[in-house]
Amino acid sequence: MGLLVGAPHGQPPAAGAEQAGNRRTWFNQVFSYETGEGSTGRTVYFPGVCLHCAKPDCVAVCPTGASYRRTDDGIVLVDSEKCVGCKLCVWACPYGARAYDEVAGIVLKCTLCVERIEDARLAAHERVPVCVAACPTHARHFGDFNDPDSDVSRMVQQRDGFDLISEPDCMPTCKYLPPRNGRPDSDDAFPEPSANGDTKGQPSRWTDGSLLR
Amino acid sequence: MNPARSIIVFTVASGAGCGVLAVTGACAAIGLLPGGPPVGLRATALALVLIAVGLAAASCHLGRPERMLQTFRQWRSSWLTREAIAALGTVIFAGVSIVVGVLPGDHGSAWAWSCVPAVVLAMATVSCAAMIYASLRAVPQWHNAFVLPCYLLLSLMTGTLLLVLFAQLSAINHAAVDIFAAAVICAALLAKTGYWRHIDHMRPKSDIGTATGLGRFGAVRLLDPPQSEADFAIGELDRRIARGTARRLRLIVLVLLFACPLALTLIPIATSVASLGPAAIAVLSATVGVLLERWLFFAEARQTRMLAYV
Repeated sequence: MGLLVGAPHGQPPAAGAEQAGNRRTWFNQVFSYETGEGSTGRTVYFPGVCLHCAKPDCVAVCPTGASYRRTDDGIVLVDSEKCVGCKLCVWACPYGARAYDEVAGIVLKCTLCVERIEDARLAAHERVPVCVAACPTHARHFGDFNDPDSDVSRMVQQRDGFDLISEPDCMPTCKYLPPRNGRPDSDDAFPEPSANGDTKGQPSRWTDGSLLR
Repeated sequence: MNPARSIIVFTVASGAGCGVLAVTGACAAIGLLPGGPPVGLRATALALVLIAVGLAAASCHLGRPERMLQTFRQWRSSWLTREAIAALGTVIFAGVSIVVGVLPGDHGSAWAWSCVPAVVLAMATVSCAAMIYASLRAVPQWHNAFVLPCYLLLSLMTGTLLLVLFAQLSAINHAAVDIFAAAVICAALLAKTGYWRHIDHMRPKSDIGTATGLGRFGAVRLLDPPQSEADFAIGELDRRIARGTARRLRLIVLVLLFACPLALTLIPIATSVASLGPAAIAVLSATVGVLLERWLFFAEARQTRMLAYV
C-alpha cells in the first residue's frame, strides 16, 4: 500500500508550529491487514496518518481555535499554546489521527513536519516529512497535487490512487495508492529446480521471486 | 465512546440546573409557580449550584483548565463555544432574577418577567450541549435527530421533578405542575425509546473494507493492530458494551428514570394528596436513572475509526 502525503495547495510558506512527541502518541500508525482468500489473498501494510482534510471536522469542533487549517496550504495543525485539552477533536476525527498528550494536557497530531518542509537550509529533496524520508521501500511520497505534472499527481493517475473516504466525508487531501499486483499467476518466470534434485540456486530463486513482486 | 465521569456529571448536573431554571421561570411568567417567589428564588439558587457543579466537573475534563476562557472564541463553528456562551448568559440572567427577587418591596410580576431571559438561555444551553454530540459526524449513534430532544426533555424532566420537590418542601401542592411533570416524563420516555430503537436498527454505512479502501480486493481482516501498547485514541473511541448488558441497563433506566418517577407523580394527581416522601424518592430515582442513561449514551456509541480495528 502506498501513501501519498502532499501539501494540497502548493508549497507552504514559513510559519511556526509545534512538533511534539509523547510516549502515548502515535502520529503514524501502520496496520497489517489480510485481504482476499487463497491464492488471491495478500497481506497489506496500511499506513494510518492525518490526511489533512479539506473539510476537517476536528477543526470545526475546536472551541478555542487551537486546531486550525492553514488557508494558504491546507495543512491542519494544533496551536499548543491555545489548546485547552477538551479532546473533542479526538472524537471528531474519523481517521483516528489525533492523540492526547496526558502529560502536557493538550492534543497533538501529525504536523506534516512543517518546520522541516519549510526549512530553506535543507536541500530541496530533503524538504519532505520525516515519514517520507525514512520509508525504506519508498511507499510514502510527498509532493504538490495542485501541479498536474508533479510526481505524486502522475502516480495517482497511473496507479489508480484513491481518497480514503470514511463515513463522514471530510475531503481528505492525502491519497492512497492500491497495493501493487501480487505474485505472478504462474511460476514460469522463475527457473525450475533441476530434475536431479540439485537445490543449488533455490535461495536466489526465492529472492528473485520476492523482488519481482 | 469513553463514558468519562466528568462529562456524565457535567451533562446531568447542568441539564438538571437548566431544567429547573426553565420550568421555574416559565411557571413564574404564566403565574403558575407553586409557592410564588420564595420557592422560585430557592429553586433558582439550586439551579445555579447545579450549573456550577456541572462547570466544575467539565473543567476536570480539560487538560488545561486554566485556559478555559479561550473556549469562548469559536462561536461561529463550535457547539462547545456556543454552549459555554449560553451557559454564561444563563448564569448572569439567573443571577439578575435573584437580585430582582430579593429587592425589598412587593414586585412579584417584575420578578416573574426577569426570569424569562434565563428560561430561553437555559434551553439554549442544553440544546448546544446536545449539539456537541449530535454534530459529531464520526459517531453514528450521536449524529441523529433523537439526541437533541432527548437532552432537552430529560433536562426539563429532571428540572420539573426538582421543582415539585421544592414546592413540597414548602408543603405546597400544585396540580398543574404535577400534570406537566407527568407529561414531560412521558415525552422523555418516548424520545429515549425512540433513540434506542434508532441506534438498534441503524445500518452501518461503512465497514472495514470501505474504511481501509481494501474491500475491492476481497474480505479484509486485521492481522496486527498498529501498536501493542495502550493507545489513548482507542481508549476514547472504543468502549464496547455487551448487548445483553446494555439491554439490562436500559431496563434499569426505564424503571428508575421513567416508570418510578411517573408513578410517584401520578399518585398526587389521582389522590389529590401530596407529600414530601414521593417527591423526594422521585428525584432520587430519576437522578440515579439519568446518570445511568448518560453512561449508556457514551458506552453504546462507537466511533467510525474503530471499523479499522475489526
